[in-house]
Amino acid sequence: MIPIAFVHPEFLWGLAACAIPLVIHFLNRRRLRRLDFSTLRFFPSAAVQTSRIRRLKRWLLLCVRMAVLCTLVAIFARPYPTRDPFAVLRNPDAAIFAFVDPTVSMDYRENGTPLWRTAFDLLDTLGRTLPPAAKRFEYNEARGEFLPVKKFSRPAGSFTRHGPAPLHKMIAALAAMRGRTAGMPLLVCLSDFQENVSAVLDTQLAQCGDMPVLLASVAPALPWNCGVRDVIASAANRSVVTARVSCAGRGMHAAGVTVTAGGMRVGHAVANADPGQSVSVPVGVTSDLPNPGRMVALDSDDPLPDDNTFYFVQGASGALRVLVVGDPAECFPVSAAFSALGPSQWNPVVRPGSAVAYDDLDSAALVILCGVRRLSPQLAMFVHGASQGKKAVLFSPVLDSSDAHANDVLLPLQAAGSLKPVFDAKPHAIVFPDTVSPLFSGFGSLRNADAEVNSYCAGLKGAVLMRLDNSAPFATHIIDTMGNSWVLLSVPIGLAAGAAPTPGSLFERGLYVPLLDRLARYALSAIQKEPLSWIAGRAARNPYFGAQRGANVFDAAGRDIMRWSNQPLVVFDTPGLYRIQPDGDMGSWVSVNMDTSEVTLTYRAPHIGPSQTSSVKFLPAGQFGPFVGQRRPGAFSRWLWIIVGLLVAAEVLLWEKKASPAIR
Amino acid sequence: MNNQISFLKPEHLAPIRNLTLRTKAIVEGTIAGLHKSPYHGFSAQFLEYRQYLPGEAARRIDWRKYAKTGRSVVRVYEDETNLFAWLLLDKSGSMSFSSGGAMSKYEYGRTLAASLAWILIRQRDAVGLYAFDSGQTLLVPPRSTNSQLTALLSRLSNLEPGGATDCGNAMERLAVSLSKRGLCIVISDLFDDPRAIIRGLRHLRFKRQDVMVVWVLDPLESEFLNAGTLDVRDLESGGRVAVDGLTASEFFSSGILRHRAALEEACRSLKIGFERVVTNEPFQKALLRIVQKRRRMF
Repeated sequence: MIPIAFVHPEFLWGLAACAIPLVIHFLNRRRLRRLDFSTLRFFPSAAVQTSRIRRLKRWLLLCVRMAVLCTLVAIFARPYPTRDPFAVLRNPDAAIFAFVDPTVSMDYRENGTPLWRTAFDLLDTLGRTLPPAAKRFEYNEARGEFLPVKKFSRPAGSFTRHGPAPLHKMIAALAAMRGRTAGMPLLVCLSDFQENVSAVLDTQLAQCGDMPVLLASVAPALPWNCGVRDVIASAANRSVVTARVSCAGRGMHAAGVTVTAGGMRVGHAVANADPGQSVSVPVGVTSDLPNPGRMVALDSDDPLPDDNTFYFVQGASGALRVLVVGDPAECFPVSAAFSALGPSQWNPVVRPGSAVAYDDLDSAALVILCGVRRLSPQLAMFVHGASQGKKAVLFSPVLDSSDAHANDVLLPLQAAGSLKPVFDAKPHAIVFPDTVSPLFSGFGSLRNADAEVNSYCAGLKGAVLMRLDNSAPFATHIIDTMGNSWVLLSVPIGLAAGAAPTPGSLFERGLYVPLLDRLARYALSAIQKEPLSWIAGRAARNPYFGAQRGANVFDAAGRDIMRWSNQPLVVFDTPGLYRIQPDGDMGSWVSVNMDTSEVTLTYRAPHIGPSQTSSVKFLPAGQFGPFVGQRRPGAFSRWLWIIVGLLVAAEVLLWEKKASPAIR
Repeated sequence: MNNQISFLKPEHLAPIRNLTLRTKAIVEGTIAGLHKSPYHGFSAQFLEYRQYLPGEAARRIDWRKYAKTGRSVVRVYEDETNLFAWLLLDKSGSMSFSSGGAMSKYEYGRTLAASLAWILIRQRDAVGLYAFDSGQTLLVPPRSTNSQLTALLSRLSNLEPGGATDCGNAMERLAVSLSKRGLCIVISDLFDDPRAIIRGLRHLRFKRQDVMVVWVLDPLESEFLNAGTLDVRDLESGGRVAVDGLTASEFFSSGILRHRAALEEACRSLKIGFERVVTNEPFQKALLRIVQKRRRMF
C-alpha cells in the first residue's frame, strides 16, 4: 500500500458522487416480484444461469461506475505518494529553497548558453510545475539568506563571481529559515558540482538532516576547457615565462600562448595537449618590463573564457626563499612540500645544521629548523638575534630523548627549557579551529582524523594556533626579542633518519602540504613578508590591518576602486592587475589570478551519507527535468485518464440494452 | 369498414358477468360490421337447385335464376343441414393467466367461443363445444337449435380453467370421434409441445375438417417484462424460476417466436387458418379478423 496524499484534498468531497450510481442501482433493484405466469416452457435452465451472470454483471457495472467517479475525483484531487521525500514538490505546503552555484565555473558555455542560465531555466521549469501555493525562496548571497520570491527568475545580467561557493553560509541560512518558515522544506541546489563544491557538500550535507535535498547537476557532458593554470616567472631567468596549460574534455591543438606586458606582446608559443593532460609551455619574452606585470593568455575557443584570457604574474617579485635547516635526508619531505606548492612562490633550499652560511640566512625569508641537533656558529648567531632583518621561523622539534636539550638550544629565550617529549600509545588527532579564519581559510574539506600523532612535545609556549585532541598545543606563535616571528610545532615535520613514515603520521595525509604552506604564511604575515598572492574572490589578510595606516587600491586603468584601512580581510572581486597605494609610501602592483580550483573542470557527485540516501538525491545533468516532471502535481493524471478510459470501455462492454422487441 | 365500427374493448365488457349478455353485445356489433358482406355464413358449399316449396321463406328463392328461367328454385348446399362446427376451447391452467388486465385468456377465449357460437347458430349452423385440458374434457355435440346456444352459453359460463395444457392430444381425441366433415375452431394459448399440436391439427385435417386456430395471448406474453427480478410461478405445474426481467424477456421473446414460427409453418402447410389475438384487443375486431380470415381461406 503506497501512502498517498492529495494536492487538492477538497476535491475528495466529490467522492460523495459515488453514491449516485449506488442509489440508482438500489432504486432500480426492485424487490423480488412474484409473477404467476402461464408457462415456464420458455424459461430453460440457461435462462437462470444467464440471469445470474447478468446480475453479477450489474454489480460489476455498479463497481465500474463508482470506480470511474472515484478516478475522476482522484484526477482532480491530484494524488501523490508521500513515501517519496521529493513528493513535497506536489505539496501546496512546500517551501522550496533554491540555490544556484555562483562560481565562475558556472560561466561555462554549452551551445552558447552559460551553465548558470541553464540552471535558472531549470528552476523556472520547477517553478511552473510547483503548486501555486508553494513557497519559493532564493538564496541571496549579498544578504546571506534565503529571500521569498513569487517566482524563480533569471538575473538579467551576469550571475557568477569569483571565489568559492558560499555553501557554508547557504546551509547556515537554510537552517535559520527552516525554523521560521512553515511548510515542508526542500533544498534545490543547482551546480556543476565541481570537485571543490562537492568536497564542501561532502561534509555540509549532514547539516541538512532529514530534509530532502535535490542536487541537480548542470555540468556539461564533455567539458572542453583549456586554460592557463599556473605561470612561473623565475627571478633567476627573467627571459622565460613558463605557463602550465591544462586541457580537459577535448584535445587542444596549436593553441597560442601569448605573454603581454604593459599591453605589448612580448612573447608567444604554441601549445598542444591531449584531454586530461597538463603541459608546461615555456614562452621566451623579449623584454623585461617590471610593471605592471605580465599577462599570459591562451588563444582558444574555450567555453569558459575567464581562465585563459586573464592570468597575471608579477615578473619582478619572484619566489620567496625558504631555508630548510637540518639533515637533507630528514628534511626532504619539507623541501618537497614547498616545491609542490609552486616554484613561483617558494624556493626551498636545504642546508645541514652545521653548514648554514650567513648568506643563506640573510637571503631567506623563511627559515625552517627541522630537527636540528648540531648548530653552526652562523646558525647559533641567528638564533640569538644577530640576523639581518626580521625572519620568519618554523620550528620542528627533536623528539629523541637523548637529544632533548637540542630543542632548548634552538629555541628563543622565552620558549626555551619547556619542551618535554611525550609518547602516547593512543593516537591524537589535530583539532582544527575555525576554518574560516584567515589562517585556515580553504581548509574546509579537512577533517580532524586526517592527521593523528603518537609522539609530540609537551610544554609549547606562545599563542596557541592549533591543538591536539587532548588539548596539548600543536602549534604556537611567538615573536622573539629581535622581532622574528616563530611558529613552534610540537610534532616533527621531517622524516626521522633511517625510519619509514609512521602510519597515520603527517606525511601520510593530505594535510601535510597545505598545513606547511599556511603555517609558513602565518609566520611571514607577522613580519609583513607574506608573499603577495591574490586570488580573485577569495578573502585574504589585509596587510594593513593593525598597522595604523591604510592604502588605496587602483585597477589597471588607474581607477580608485577601494580603500583598505582596518578591515581584517580584503578581497578582489575579479582577476587583473591592481596597484596598491599605501598612505605616504610607494605603491606596488599586484596580480590577482583566478582560483585554479574554480576552473579545473573536474566534476563529481557529492558523497551522500548512508543516513541520507533517501532524503538527498543527486541528479546528473539532464535528469532534473524528467525528475521534476514525474513529480509535478497531476503526474499520475495520464495514468488515471487511461484508467478512466479502460473503465468506460468496461462499462460499454457490461452495459446492456433493456428494451426487448414486442411480439407482433 | 372497420373504422366505422365502434369496437367494445374487453375492459368495457368485463363488468358484464352474464356471458349471454356480453356475447349478444359483441355479436350485435360484429353483425353490424358484416351487413354489407355478400357472404352470409360459414356454410357456403353450393350443391344444386331444387323447386321452391310453399311455406319456405321467400328470401331463399334464387331470384336471379327466376329472372332467367321463370322458375322458382332454391339453392341447395352440400349439406342439407347447416355447417357442423366444433369450438375447441382450451381450459387449462395457463389460460387463466391475466397480467392485470380486465380479462384472462380463458375469459377472452370463452367469450370468443360464445360469440362464434352465437354467429353460427344464428345462421343455422350446428355448433358443438369441446373444452379440454389434460384431464377433464367437456363435449357438447353440435346442433343448430336456439336451445343449443343457450346450452352452450350455460356450459361455458360454468366452466372453470384448470389442469395442464394438452392441446395436441385433445385435438387427436376429438378427431378420432369425428365422422363428418366440418369446421374446427381451436381457441387456445397453445403452450404445449408444438409437435403434439401439429400432430393433432394434422389429424383434424385428415378427418376433413376445416381448422381455424385462434392463438390467444395475454399482453404480457406479447411483450414480456424486462425490469426487476421475477419469481415466475407456473400456473399449471406450480414450478418456480427466479430470473431477472431482461433475461426473462429475452428468453421468452425468442422462445415464443420460435414456437409461433413452428406453428405458423405447420398451419400454412396444412392450410389451417392461424390468427393471433391479444386479450386487450376489442372483441369485434378479433371476431371480424377471424371471420374474414375464414372466408379468405375458402
